[in-house]
Amino acid sequence: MSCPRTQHLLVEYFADDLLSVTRQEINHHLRECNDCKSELNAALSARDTLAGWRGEAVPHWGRGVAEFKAQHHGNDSRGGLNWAWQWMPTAACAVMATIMLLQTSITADDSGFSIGFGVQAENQVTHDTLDQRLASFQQNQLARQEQQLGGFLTRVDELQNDNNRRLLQAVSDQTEQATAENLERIYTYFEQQRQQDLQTLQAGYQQLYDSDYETIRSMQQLANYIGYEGAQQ
Amino acid sequence: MALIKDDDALIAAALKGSTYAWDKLVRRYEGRVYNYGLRLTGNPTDAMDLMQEVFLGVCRNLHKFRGDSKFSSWLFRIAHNKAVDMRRRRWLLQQHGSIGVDEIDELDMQENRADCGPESSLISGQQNRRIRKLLEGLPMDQRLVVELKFFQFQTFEEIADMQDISVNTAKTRFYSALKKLKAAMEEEHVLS
Repeated sequence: MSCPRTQHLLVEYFADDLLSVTRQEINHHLRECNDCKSELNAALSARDTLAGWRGEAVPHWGRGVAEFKAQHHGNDSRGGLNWAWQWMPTAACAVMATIMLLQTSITADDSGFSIGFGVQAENQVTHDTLDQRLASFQQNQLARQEQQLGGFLTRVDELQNDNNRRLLQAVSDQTEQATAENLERIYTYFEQQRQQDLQTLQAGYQQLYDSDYETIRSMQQLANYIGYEGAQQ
Repeated sequence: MALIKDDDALIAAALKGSTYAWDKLVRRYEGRVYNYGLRLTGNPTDAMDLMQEVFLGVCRNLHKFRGDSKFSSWLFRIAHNKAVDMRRRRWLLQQHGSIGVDEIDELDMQENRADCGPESSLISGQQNRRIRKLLEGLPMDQRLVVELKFFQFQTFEEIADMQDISVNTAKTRFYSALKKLKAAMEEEHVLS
């Protein structure tokens, strides 16, 4: 290899952001320079050889699920709704099987066993006495229920009346007591007011009396003074 | 675009704890990661270890994925880092003499023989072995550049960013790798 441009040319050839002008220059140089052309062909051959890589299958491994669960505290192991939907058919089958079992009836009679689904197995034998007994039982039950109901209603009425009476009595007592207490309070209040008025009136009279007494004393002193002055002259 | 949206939906569901979503996400990328590991490490055992380490890293850091870039880019960045770490550990083990290269190769050959099934897979297995041998002739840094360029179809800028090197260094490594590949292929031709 003697061309000084080979390294630059080869590297730029594999650059992705090569300008079209540069690409033309490279192609032009390659047409003229056998060294560079040879080097490029070798590089392209190496690239093609490497491109022949066939993806190999990954050996079985846990895909880090255990680590992932440990990291994420083992939340929903199959991803929310997907996980729930996965079990829906199984749950539906279980429910249907339960319903079927509950709806199945097995009857044994003289002719053998019979199994029925959805409805009760048809009874082969009908008994009039059974119907009569059922009718009688029904009438008895109705009569007893009516009797019980009447008794209950009477007791409810009594209880209701008793409660009303007690309620009215309590209200009345409370009202009377309240009225008496109120009258007593009013009387006490008026009496207190009257006592206060009397005291105020008495104090007023005493003050007026004191005032008059002082005036008379002043007058007497004035008269004495005038008398004394007249005697001096 | 649909795949990207699917990825986002799967990631969101996985972050909420859906094992189903996680399993689907892993199934979607495990093949690419495993084959990436095969080409980089050169043997199925290490490729398997690498793949497990990658998805373990993804599991632990999934909440940090913000969706700024494609999930596959983020995933292969983790794969790249794990591969570099693994290579370093392997080198240390070889330096301390606790494991030999011949020993590993023999184990790999046994695994490959055990994996062989129908004729077509035998042929593709031979082809893959040839490619692995070619790649094994490259130093790890050059092998990574070739992997990212030819198999992950990344630009030199992306390769430089991922490897934390300059674009020129990435290009130089790529050119050196091409020269070595050419020499190895010529040697193959002479021997055959």
